[in-house]
Amino acid sequence: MPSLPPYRDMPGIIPVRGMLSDLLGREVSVRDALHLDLDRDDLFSAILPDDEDNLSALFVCDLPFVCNTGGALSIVPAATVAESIEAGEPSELLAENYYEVANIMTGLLNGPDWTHIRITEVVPGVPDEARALADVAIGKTTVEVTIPGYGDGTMTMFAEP
Amino acid sequence: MKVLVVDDSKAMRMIVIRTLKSTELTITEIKEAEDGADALSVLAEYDAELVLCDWNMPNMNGIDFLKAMRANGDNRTFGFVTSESDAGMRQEANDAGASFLLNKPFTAESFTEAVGTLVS
Repeated sequence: MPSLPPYRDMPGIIPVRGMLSDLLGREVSVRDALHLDLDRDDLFSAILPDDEDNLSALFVCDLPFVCNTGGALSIVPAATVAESIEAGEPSELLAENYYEVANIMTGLLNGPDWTHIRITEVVPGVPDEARALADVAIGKTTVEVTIPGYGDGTMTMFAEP
Repeated sequence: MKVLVVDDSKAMRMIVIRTLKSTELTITEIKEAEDGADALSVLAEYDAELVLCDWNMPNMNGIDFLKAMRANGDNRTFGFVTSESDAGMRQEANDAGASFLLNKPFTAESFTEAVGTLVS
């Protein structure tokens, strides 16, 4: 009987807090939260396939998470970040910055015993393939973060082995 | 100390530079490059003492850049700053002549620990 790969350990609030605090250069508070409703119209998906391009993990977050983490990364004025949230979409800079945040956060799901994943893109909404993964994912965790000087945001992480 | 920061992400170059400036090391000048090929051009005219480089970059990635440096007889101190690493990457980096590999995000403390004994 072939052996199954070990299930990926989902990160708790402590490693998420440590990673985001180091990355954003400020003490971020993180807490457990209710899973995001994937039918919301203000969500963004970071697509995380394995090295064979099989979708293996997914970060779904809300617009404030994209904008506030993206803003904090390169110290964009808070008012400018708020404008993007008000407008309903991240600016190009905030979107690029969030991509880097998500890229580094993949480190929370990589480890020597697990299939390697990487980020390939961030897209608006939750595409069908991503939704299919989310529906069956064994690993699932949601965090709400507060970034000093910016605001709150929520991310749900999904992962398969 | 003069430093060259190499990363295809402008945001990440800003983060690395911000962290550099928060250390107690004496940083006299910092220049940037967006990939390995760009970095080789910069190094041809810049007497950097330390190169900090991302691993995955378009045009020329970090490991190929390091190998090109060493093939040119350039033995300046080189360290990788990357979002992920495994034992294989660390060995490859070491074999190519890197002095250290730091995972992003790195702190002033971890950077100082890695670099402090390598450069004055």
